[in-house]
Amino acid sequence: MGTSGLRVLVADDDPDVLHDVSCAFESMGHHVCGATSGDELITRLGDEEPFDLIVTDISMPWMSGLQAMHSSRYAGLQTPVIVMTALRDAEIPDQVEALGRNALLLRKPFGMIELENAVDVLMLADQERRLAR
Amino acid sequence: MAAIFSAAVALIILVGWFAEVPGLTSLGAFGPPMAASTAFMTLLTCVALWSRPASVAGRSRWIVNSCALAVSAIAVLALVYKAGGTEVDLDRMVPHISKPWHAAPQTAFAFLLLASAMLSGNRRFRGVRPGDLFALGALAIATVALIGYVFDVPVLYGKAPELPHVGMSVPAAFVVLALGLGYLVSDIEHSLVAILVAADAGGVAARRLFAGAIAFPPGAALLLLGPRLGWYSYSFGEATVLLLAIAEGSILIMSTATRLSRADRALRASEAHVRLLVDQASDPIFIADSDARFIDVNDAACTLTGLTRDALLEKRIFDIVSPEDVPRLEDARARLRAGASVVEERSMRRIDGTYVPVEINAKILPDGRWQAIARDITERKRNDAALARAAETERSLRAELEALMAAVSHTIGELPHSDVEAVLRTIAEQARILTSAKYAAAAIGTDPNKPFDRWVDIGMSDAERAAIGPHPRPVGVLGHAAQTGTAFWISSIAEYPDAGGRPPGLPPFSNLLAVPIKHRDRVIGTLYLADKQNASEFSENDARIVTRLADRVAAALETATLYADEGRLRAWLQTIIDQLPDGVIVIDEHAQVKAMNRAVREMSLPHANETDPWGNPTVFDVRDSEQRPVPADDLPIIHALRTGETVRRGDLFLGQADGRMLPIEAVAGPVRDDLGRITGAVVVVTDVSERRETERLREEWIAVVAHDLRQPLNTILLWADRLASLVKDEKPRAAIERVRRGAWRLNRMIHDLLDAARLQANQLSVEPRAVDAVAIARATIDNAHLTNPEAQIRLTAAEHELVWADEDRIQQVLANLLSNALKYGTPATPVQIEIKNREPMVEISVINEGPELSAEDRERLFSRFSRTAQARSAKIPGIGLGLYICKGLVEAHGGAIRVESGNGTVAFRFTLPRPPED
Repeated sequence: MGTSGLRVLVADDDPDVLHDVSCAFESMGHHVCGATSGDELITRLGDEEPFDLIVTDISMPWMSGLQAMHSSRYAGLQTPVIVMTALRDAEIPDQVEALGRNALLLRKPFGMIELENAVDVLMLADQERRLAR
Repeated sequence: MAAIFSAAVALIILVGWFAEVPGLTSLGAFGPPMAASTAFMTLLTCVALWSRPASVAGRSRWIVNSCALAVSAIAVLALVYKAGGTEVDLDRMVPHISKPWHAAPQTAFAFLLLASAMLSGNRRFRGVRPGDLFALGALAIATVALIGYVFDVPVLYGKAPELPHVGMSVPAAFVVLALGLGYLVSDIEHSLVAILVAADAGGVAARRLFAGAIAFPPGAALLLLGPRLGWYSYSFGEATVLLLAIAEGSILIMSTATRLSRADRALRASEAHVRLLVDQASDPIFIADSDARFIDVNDAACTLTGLTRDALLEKRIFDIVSPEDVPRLEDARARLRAGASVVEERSMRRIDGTYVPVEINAKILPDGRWQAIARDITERKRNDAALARAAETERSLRAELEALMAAVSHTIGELPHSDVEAVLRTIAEQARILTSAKYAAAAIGTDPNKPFDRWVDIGMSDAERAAIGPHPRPVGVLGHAAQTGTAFWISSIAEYPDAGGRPPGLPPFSNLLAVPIKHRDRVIGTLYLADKQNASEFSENDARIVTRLADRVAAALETATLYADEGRLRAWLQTIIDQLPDGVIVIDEHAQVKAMNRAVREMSLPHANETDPWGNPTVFDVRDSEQRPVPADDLPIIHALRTGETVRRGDLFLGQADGRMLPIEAVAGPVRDDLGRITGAVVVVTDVSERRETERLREEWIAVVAHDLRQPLNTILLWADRLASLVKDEKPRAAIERVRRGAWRLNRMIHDLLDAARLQANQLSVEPRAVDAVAIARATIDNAHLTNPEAQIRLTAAEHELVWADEDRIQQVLANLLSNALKYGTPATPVQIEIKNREPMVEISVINEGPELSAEDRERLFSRFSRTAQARSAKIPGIGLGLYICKGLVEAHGGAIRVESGNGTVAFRFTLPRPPED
């Protein structure tokens, strides 16, 4: 609840969801950038200022959110990530877990409370990790 | 016994000599001591005697001979020494013998005799064993010496004043006596004194007289002791001895004579019996002397030869046998002499010159006479000849039938190419040939109320057949044999009582033979033969031969009929199986494929030269869900064959020739016989590729629908929350809250629909591990309190209760049941959660107070889209999938769920398995 002013990159191929989630983050006081596909997500990650948090959908054209995040992790990028999805495939939790401890699965649909909780959990963990380092 | 006694004596004597105890050397008896050399001879003789009973050959014989030779040598040396011919004194060679006590000459001679007896073995000379004579000689010497001592006559034991040596000692006399007796007794049955143990009259007499003879001298000696001691005069003693002798002699003679006379009477009576038997014997008995002249014959012998007894007694054996038998008689005589008895068949000549066949049982009696018992075997010879003729007939008949059976067998062997009709035709044709009949027919069926099941005829023209009609019945003359079960033949059909109703235009049958065809005593049909060609009617012989034919072919016919029936059944079954869309394989108990349909053949691999492990030529490439080859023993059909269980596997694939993996479902079960034994197995293979595709599409569709429904829900929820934070008024905030709740309920419904769809497609999977049911229950209760803080929920459970379950899914079940209990239970009453150990399961119950469920509700509660009357009337929200999913989830864990309702409570109880032991 206490987190604000983060640079957040939100990726979803559904413009409504992208808009809704972006607005939700903005209402929480964060700066939001949007991407509508996996490759756009990668491009923005590479080209723009470093982000504090990535929020991505899984099923997107060209490259899924998971694939994009696996690539970025492979490239050494350790930005905390919230993977949101309306899918219920059994293997998804494992795939999210594989992104590391600074990744979290958020099942759609979710409300503001669920979103804020997820951000808090991730940011707290990230802060602890930075302190420990 | 004798050997042990003598050896003991000898050993004592030797000890006496060596220890220089004079008392021992003569055993304390009066008279001279026993010489040491005598003791040695005694010991050696004892050894020889001891070894003798087994004196057949080899080692024992060798021991006997060497001992006897040693004894002889010592004895001869002693004798020569006494005669002054040598200076070798054996006794002086023995240490400690200061005084020269040499073996007395008669002692030495007695031992020489004993040694000779041992050496002579069992040889006989004119029926007498010389050994026995030698032993008797030794016995005589010893007896004379002993009598000499008893009656104090020194010359008898060898102490003659004119001879410069001492006599035989008392111990030596006893030892010689014992050894001599021992020799005779050791093989008494063959010795000279065998008569003593004989069971006949001689034996009885010998034993009595011998006992008397032995008993007399000691008695007499005792009586003569009196005068010496001065009790009475010598003359009194002698008179008493005389009286005793007369008395004993008389008693012995009388008793022995009585016994002998009784035995003689018995013998004569027995002889008379035998005579009577011989005379009355039905078989002729001839007795001839060694010169082959008859000395006795019985009445039967007279009858056989046709001669009177007197006339026969003047004949010799050669006179009554046929001339060619004479040389053979000599031959028989030689064999008879060798102790054999001869049984031969001969011809015996009668007085009238004819010959009678006889069986002669001849032997030579111990006294050299011939004895022959003849038996007239004329009758037997006649019977034998008749039997031989019958056997010959039988053989030829059998050969004929064999040939015929070969024809029938060939026809049956051609089955199923040939049919029952062909078999019947063959049989009818064979019967017609056997009996020379013009017409023949073979029919199956015995029910007079309907036509024959099968009918085959031979020899009839089409017109004649038409006259009989297409469907003859076993009635009237055609039914007679089947109804009586026996063959019957008539010279004219017109004579048959029921023949009047014969249809016109029938072939002009004259005579007829009908024979029932029986299988296991049951008539199954009839063979008909008509118009015998070479005689006016069928004979009994024809009937017999056709009956035998019918008997032989009945089984074949039955087989053919069964074969035909089974063949039809098989063909029918094969057609059905072939038309099945599913693949079917039937194997026998050895896993050999017995049947296989077209559908399954199309799923096999076309390997021309390969076989499966059981040698079946059709090969299947069976793979499991991970495309690994399934081991042969794990194939469903083999599993069913081995275990007798029905196996269903839906996770298999069949590799196809084009590389495709065909998804299949295989259901295999055992095939059992009437006794319940497994005789094979069957598998039904279904190509489920279409079904899988449909399932996949449906799953995909459900996932897409669920995904797409959740996206707008996300928008609603996010914006509802956002609106709620922006709006301060109470009323709009309440409206926004209702929107939020509606969205969340919609989300749950989507979730339930997805689960229900998966359940229905058997695709709901759980991932069980060992979890604590109590902890799950606590977490569920906490969650329930979040949305309903007022709820009274009580948990009754142990501290931990481990179950083998998917934690999320069980929480889902429990949450569902708890939510139902809170929704439908009487408000403000507690809901009870109980977790109990019900080995081998754990039972979890959710109980609420409230309206009871009707039987109808209880029954339908767990089905899809089912809602209770109460839920509908109370307008409690829900789509009726919750319990359906609960049931599916519990069952996916291997548990069961049920509902109980009564006493104002409703209890849902479900079970879960405990974690596996390891």
